[in-house]
Amino acid sequence: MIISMFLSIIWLIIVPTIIGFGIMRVLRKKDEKSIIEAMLMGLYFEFVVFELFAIPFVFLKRSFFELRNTWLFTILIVSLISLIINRREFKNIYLDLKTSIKKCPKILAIISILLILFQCYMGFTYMHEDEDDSNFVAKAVIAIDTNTLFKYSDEGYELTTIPWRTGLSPFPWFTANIATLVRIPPAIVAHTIFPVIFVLIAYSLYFIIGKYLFDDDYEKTFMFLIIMNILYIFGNYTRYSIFVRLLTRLWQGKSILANITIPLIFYIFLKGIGTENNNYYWFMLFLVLWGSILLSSMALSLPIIVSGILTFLYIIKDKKISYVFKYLLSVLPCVGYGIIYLLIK
Amino acid sequence: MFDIDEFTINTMINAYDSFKGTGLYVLLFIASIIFVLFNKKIKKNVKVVFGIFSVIIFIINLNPIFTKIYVKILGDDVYWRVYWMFPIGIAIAFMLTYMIFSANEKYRKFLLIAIVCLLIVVSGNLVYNQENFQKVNNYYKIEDELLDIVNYVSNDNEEYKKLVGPANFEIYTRQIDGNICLAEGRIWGVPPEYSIVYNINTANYKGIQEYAFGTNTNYIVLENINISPNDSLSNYNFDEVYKNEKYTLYKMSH
Repeated sequence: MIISMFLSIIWLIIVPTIIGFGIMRVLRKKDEKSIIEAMLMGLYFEFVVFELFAIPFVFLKRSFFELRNTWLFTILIVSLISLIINRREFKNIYLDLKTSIKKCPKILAIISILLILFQCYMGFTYMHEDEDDSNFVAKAVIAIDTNTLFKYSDEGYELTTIPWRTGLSPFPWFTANIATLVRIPPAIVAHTIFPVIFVLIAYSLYFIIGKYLFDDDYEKTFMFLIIMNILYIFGNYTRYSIFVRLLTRLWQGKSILANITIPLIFYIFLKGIGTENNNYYWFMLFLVLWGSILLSSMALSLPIIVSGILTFLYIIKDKKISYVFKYLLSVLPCVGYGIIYLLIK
Repeated sequence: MFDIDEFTINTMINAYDSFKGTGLYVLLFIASIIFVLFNKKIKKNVKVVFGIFSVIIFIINLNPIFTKIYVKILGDDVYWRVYWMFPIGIAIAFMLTYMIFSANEKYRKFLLIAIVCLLIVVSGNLVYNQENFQKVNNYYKIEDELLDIVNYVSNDNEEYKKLVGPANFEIYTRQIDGNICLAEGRIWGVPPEYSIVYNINTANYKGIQEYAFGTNTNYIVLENINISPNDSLSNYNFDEVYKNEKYTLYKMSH
């Protein structure tokens, strides 16, 4: 289990970070190169690549392992290219990280880390039962056990039609993909590994949001993070809240959408849109919107509405009509998948 | 298309009720929107993203025309998820952090931290309770006894495996082994009184046998507390092959 957790960290945190730095380099990002931002960029790049191949492979009746291997090959090539083009940068990144750690206020940092680790521990140790897993987790198991994509229903019968409402968002296959790489069953990946990894990713995102909101004041940032932790731990005021979703069902794509994708869109607009560097952030938005389609069919609505309204507000704020075209380019994949969804529904 | 019916209004109201819950977090969120909009020291883009954007989302979500369009395209059962568009956690945390650091003296900061923590605890409910979490002794996070039964079937030397059991077997069996088929899946739209899965522990054994033969099901699971002392599936062409503390597994006789 420890080895599987370590391998999961490699595939969901370290490899994405390497890829993210590669993208930053290619797009010539001018301001600070945040490790967490790189990690998020790379993670959604992984989602995009998987989604890019998954739907055509369904139409072409390819197998699950063909999909897995194609994704793996692509990710490894991109990671290798990123390592090569950034080979002189990693030392600077490490030194920046060391400097940042020194700036952290010890007590507040320890409290917030302990709270996050507590949530990871609870997700790792305890069971949350959810009937939706008869769909989400079962699909992952079926993909591996039968090496097929949408050939069998959740009960085991051969399907005559593809269930497109969830079919455009095959996050269960991504779970299966990770399961084959870390060599444990998908149910364990979903219920034990993902609650740890994605909680860490979510709070990393909240950390950089806080860092932006408080102008790199680490004391305020860690206090912000502590309050976020407490809000989540006591967020059971309704079972429909995003807080409950993070801590009870983070292996389901829709929970990642609610707790990572949408806050990430807020971060993109807060940090980047409206600055000199905004083409980089528009590209990040493009990746995030496309990658989130893998997570849930809700990605064909909620993130588009969020980014659309924010774009409209920023057009008024910055008086830049060019944002319209950049937004339209960013949502192009979502529109494409949305049209497929409406035609096939 | 834009005539608003009662169903749309109810969908809209139910979605808001689901989001609101006990109401106190939402009050904190509204307070944070007001704080962000009217505090002159807050950056313009923060006002836009947390303040103006949130107001627009409120107006949209509580607009029956938007509800009708959304429901027509994506269905009414997921409409409540529109409230995921709010930056609720981030906005509340931002406001409370700002308030804490507006105090100059250390003792005031500590007092405000204590008040903030108390406010959140009182407004919310602990996620880690028995309703949400249980302890199991496996990494699958599946009931131990259920996992035990499914593992037995999984390792059994049969090419064809089809199982029926109490409702939780329909949820969890194929999360463990995708090669075991289910006689019934998760019950959508089938009233419980018609489902063998919900009634398996109260159905007569003859009825279960007929069901199993009719659906070519070769494995049946019953809960031990519901097994009749006067009769047994063994009398109906099913052999008891495995038993644990909670369940008994029967297999069709050859």
